[in-house]
Amino acid sequence: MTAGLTPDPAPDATRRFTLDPAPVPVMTVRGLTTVFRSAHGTVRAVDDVSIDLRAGEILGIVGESGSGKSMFTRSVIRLLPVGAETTAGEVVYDGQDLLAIPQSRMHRIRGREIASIFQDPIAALNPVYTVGRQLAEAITSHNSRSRVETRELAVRALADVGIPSPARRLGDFPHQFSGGMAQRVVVAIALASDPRILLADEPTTALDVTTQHQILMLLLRIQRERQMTVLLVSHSLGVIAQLSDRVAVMYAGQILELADTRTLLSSPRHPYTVGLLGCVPDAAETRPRRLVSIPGSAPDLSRLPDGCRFAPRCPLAIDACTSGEVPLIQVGPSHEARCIRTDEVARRDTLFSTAVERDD
Amino acid sequence: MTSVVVGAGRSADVEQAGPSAGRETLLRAGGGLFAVIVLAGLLAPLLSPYDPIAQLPRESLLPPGSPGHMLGTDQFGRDIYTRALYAIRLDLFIGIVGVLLPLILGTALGAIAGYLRGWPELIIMRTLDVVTAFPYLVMLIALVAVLGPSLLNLFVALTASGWTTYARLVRGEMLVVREHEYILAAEGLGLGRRRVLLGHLIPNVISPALVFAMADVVLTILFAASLSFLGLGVQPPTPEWGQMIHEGQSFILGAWWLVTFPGLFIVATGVALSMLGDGIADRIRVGGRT
Repeated sequence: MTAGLTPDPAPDATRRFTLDPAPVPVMTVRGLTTVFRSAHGTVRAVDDVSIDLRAGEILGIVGESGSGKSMFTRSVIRLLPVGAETTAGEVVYDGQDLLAIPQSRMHRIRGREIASIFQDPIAALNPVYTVGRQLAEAITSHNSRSRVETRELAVRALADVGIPSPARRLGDFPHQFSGGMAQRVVVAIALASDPRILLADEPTTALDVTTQHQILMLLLRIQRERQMTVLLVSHSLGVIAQLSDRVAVMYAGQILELADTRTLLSSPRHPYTVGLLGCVPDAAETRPRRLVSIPGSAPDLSRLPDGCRFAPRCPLAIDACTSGEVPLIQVGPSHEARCIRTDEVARRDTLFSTAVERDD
Repeated sequence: MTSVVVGAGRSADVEQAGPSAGRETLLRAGGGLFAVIVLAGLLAPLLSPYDPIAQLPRESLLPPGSPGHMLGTDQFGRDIYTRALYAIRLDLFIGIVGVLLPLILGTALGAIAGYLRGWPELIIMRTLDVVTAFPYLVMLIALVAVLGPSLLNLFVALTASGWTTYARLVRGEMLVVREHEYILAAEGLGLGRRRVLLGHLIPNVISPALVFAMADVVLTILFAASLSFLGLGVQPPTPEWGQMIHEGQSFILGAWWLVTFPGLFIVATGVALSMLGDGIADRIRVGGRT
């Protein structure tokens, strides 16, 4: 597979691809289903998703907008938007089902055990308070501390995420920060109470490319220093591939393929993953290559096709694809794909035509 | 590239423009006039030798310019100037407390409705609809008439009929702000509902309500005066502008000064507060537009 992606040749490359002999799940999600109810009916934004989050790993979730990846992370911490509701499944963390425990217990877990960072760093900071105050709030939200101690911790937290002259910047308001610096503040706030799990929902999407890389490297460094478990959500396979140990590909609310990053990049077994890989340009490519595009668009969740949800756009689709639900099939050691034609995918060189030239 | 340049120019404009020079003058003039009125109210005993309540029947209905009675006297021989000065205290108190109470109640209910949604919102907003279905002044009069005229009941009535505007404003802002990512981020930090509501939502939704409150102080003073004029507000002999006009109306043809001077005090206070309110509102809006 001549995918446009190569693992980042950073010194951490060896670490990322050594498989833990006995992976211990720190969180286990089983059959998670989250629906949106509206006047037009009910749609399943997250449909029967099961996945383990292993201790100390970075698990990447990749998918287009509307694939349910953000709804999945928000379901896990029970912070759903109005109209959305988790109707089935369990999220086992620390021996308890997060979906069943009372709201008050959940408040103690959020932030302290499971922290989250979101897409737009400027929007994630409250405009009426100084950064120092918001950081102090995070530091004291789960442990009471003296003012002096809080300030010291706040300065150290900002320094830790690479903000120059942190003591002075504590008094600044969010709008006085650039996007990249604001995202560092958001990371510092999320890490203030030393969480075990970090949910990063599109942490670099709102940033420019250079800043993106810096923030990703920051996340990677902190993850390694603290042995933290990270769930990284992005629509960009490039971002996911740089950081993740394992990748889950989401489409129309379902996981279509799940594998460790190297396997997914080198031998994808779901046609959708193959298409995604073909869409990514790579500056390191020596020969010019036409980017492929997947024909059609993501399905309307309220009018899903029967059987495989990708079938209408799939070049390998046969009648059997649309006759019943396709389960996730084990295609290798810790490699699963929701496709009945995985052998055919492995045999083919090209799946998608490159006839469509991109003109932008 | 162009867009960057344009964008930068625009943001600089906003910062420099600020409140225009005219607005700033308005703010200062209004503030100055208001300060004079407040001081006059506070220093009333120093500014006038008379008692605002004691009656001197021999000096009744003296016209303005009479020796010792700059603005004349009323039918009981009380100095109009003195009574109008003392009335400042009560009228400003009514205006400010009569706005603070509905502001607090309205903000609380609006915030709850906008944050919790569901049945609390349903109950609050439908109650609001019922309250707003009555004309404001009619409801105020009805409430005071039923409860009986007293200062406490006046505040009860002002609060019961005045909270709706604040609740509507705050709920509207709430619906917008609750979707902001920093609210999600605060919830993600594990903060409880009360902390998110008081610490993160209220400070971001309150400014339109505060701007309206500025203007509302004037209106409340006017409505309180109207109630007194109808005999439902402050009771005699307490000096209050509306009450003074009420008492003077039967003499309006022979002794015009009984109603005119308290009226002018109301006008002066109203103008001062309007200018001050507009100026402050302007500043808040500019400050909020970061």
